[in-house]
Amino acid sequence: MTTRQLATLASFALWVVVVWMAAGTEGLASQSSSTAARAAPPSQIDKGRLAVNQVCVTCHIGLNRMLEVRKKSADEWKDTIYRMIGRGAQVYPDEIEAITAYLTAGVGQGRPQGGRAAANEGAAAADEATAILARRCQQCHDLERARTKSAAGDWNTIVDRMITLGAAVTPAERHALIEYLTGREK
Amino acid sequence: MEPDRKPTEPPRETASGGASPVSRREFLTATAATGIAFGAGPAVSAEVQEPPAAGQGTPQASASRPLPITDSFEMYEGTAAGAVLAQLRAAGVRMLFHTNTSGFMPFWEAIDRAGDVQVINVPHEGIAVAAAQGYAMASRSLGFFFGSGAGVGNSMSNLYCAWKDRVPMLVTFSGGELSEQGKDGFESWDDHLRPTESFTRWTASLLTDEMAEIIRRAIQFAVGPPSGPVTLAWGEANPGERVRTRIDTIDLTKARQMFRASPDAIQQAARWLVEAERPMIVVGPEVAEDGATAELLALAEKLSIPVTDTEDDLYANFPTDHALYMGPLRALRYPRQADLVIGFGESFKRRRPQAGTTAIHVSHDSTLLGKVYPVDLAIASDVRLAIRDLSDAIDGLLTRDRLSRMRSTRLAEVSKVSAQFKASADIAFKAMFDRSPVTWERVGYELERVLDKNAVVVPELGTQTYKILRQLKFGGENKLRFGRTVGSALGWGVGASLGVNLALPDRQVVALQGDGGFLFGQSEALWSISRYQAPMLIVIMNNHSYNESRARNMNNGGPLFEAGKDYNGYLGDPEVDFAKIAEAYSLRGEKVRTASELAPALQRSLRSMRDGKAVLLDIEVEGDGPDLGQGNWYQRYSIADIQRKARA
Repeated sequence: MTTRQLATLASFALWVVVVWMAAGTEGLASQSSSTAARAAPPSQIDKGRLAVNQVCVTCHIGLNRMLEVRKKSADEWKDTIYRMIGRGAQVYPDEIEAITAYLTAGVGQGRPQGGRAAANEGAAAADEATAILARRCQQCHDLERARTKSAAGDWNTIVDRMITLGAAVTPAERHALIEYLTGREK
Repeated sequence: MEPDRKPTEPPRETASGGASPVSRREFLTATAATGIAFGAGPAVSAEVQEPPAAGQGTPQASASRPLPITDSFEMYEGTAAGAVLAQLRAAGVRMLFHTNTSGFMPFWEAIDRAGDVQVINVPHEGIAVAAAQGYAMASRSLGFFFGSGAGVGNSMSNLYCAWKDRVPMLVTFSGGELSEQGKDGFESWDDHLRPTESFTRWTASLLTDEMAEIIRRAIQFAVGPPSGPVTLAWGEANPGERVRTRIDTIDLTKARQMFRASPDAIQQAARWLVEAERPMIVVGPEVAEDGATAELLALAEKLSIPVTDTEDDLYANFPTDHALYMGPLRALRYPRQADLVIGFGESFKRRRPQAGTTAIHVSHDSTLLGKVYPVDLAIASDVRLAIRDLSDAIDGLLTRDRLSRMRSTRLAEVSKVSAQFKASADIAFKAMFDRSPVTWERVGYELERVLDKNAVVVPELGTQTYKILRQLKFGGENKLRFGRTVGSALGWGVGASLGVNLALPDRQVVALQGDGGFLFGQSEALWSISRYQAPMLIVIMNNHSYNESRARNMNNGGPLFEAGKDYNGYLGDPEVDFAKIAEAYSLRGEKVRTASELAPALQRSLRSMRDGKAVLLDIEVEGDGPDLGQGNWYQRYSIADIQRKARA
């Protein structure tokens, strides 16, 4: 084996070790986060979700996109919440833990993939969603943005925000709306 | 502002041979006493005769029923440049801001003869304009700048800020001669004030025989409302030529136009206000501009209406430690769904009233009413008069008992919510109290502990501003705040702070700067701060980055976020020693690295300020926003390396 081959092998071995360690660390981190999330009862997470939709999205229109790229431990999220309170976020004292639990639980993940196999199902879902839009949203909003999917933020956040502001959307309707709005092609 | 000179006091220039000054009141009195027909004044020529005011048919009538005539005029004779100064002095202007140029000798001579005018030299047109703005805001008078036509470009950024902030100023430049058109001549270009037109209330040329009149007109444009900067070119005038012209005494407190809303509109607004269950007041800069802060507080307290403001608010219009103050509109969570929003001097341009909310917009700028978003009731009025009228109308609609019940019920609810938000803020603050690098909140906390109650703070910070400002008490009897400029163009704050300190020499003035903002060419302001011994405190919140841009660019991820590459944000290479910059200007500079160093450093700063020397505190503060992993990455480039390689 030549010196060059030895060097290549050593580099590869080093790369394997680094990747393995990184994967292990990431696994531990996500385990810690998910443990924290599991420790919080669903009611606490729901409370956190509501608070996030009332407080955070006033500035962070694209919050779910942020959450997809910003993964943190419970302590890190709490620290972020403290910083945002410092910036003026109006959070009630009993919401600090709830928001921490919600953010730690992992949110904003997974978008519908769509595809040919689901074409018929998709058409039916689109019809249903269009009906919901007409029924629940059109009284206040121009639906052009929904039709062209040109929302400034992500639909998960926007729909939740509308619900907190009084839109009478049932959980099933909410699901259908978000599936439809996030699944449409740009 | 009252002019220092009484109307009968001769202007300095005319004392050496000019015509006698004659006030309008004296003129009318004299003609009445002698029975001479109106218009035949002995000491003034026909060109200065005043038409009779309404009801003044004869001199006898005016003598028997004297009308409240408060204006006066003087005849001035001297240089044209002297006429400009005389008109400024007659408007009470005694402080002028200047950046180096030649060509103003007749003006300097007039200044020297006047003897009561202070010129503040500032080594950059942009900083000088910011200083003039700071002076105008804090003195509630007029800012005046004169400088080179070649410096128009330098001035533009802060001229834009002054325009966004609606601050009355006359910004004057040499050059602009029509005879130079098309020549591409020395330091000239065609129509040289045209670039300023977007940022001014009026743009004009001074003319030799009309110097004083154009200044008077410019002042009217500047004070508005809406108020704002006016740019003037000296080029068409011959400042050294002798002129004889009329100088009008101008009381700047009265020069501003005031108008009142129709009683019907006020009644409608009052009815809606008393009928609303969850009303909310949004305040904007016109409250301070119209001197309406006390009236606003009284109205809010009368009905216990929660008050909010916007990030566009240049001033603290409402006491930030008051139970009814709910924080900035952007983050507002209470009331959840206001059924009525009434905006006083705020443009609704940042956030429209929610659907289903009745909106009333009160503004002295009729061009803003209903412009950005439709409102249900638009009231054009001086804001102070509108609040007073509204308050009176409410008194007429409610019995004292009902008013009292409404007030106490709502106050209990608002206070409860305010207390909870404060409790959360305290939890967050305590959790981060001892951190090093120092938190922004801690800096605000320590400043609040040591500064005078009536200190003045001039912030120029980014999205983390509120972290520090919420620890300080502003508005009402508390501290004054000027800034951040609504224009947000960096490079404004230190110059503006100097102007504020010149206007309010008895107060502590604190400039709050980011390291990035200070690097926008602001160190030159330290020269003037040192020259004029302004004992200010300049705090540099040093996080070695343009943190606001970094957060905005990186918050939503993307390939550059994944790679940890921020092309713009990192400022740490080179590490700037801001304290040494201050020392280079003979000021005191100090570096603060940890939380425990902060309070003693502030005490030392206050001692220095008391001794008359400004201090620059360079405080290592924590960053915020997304963790980039390699936060100190930047796109490296080295000319030295290129040279080395070329030599190798």
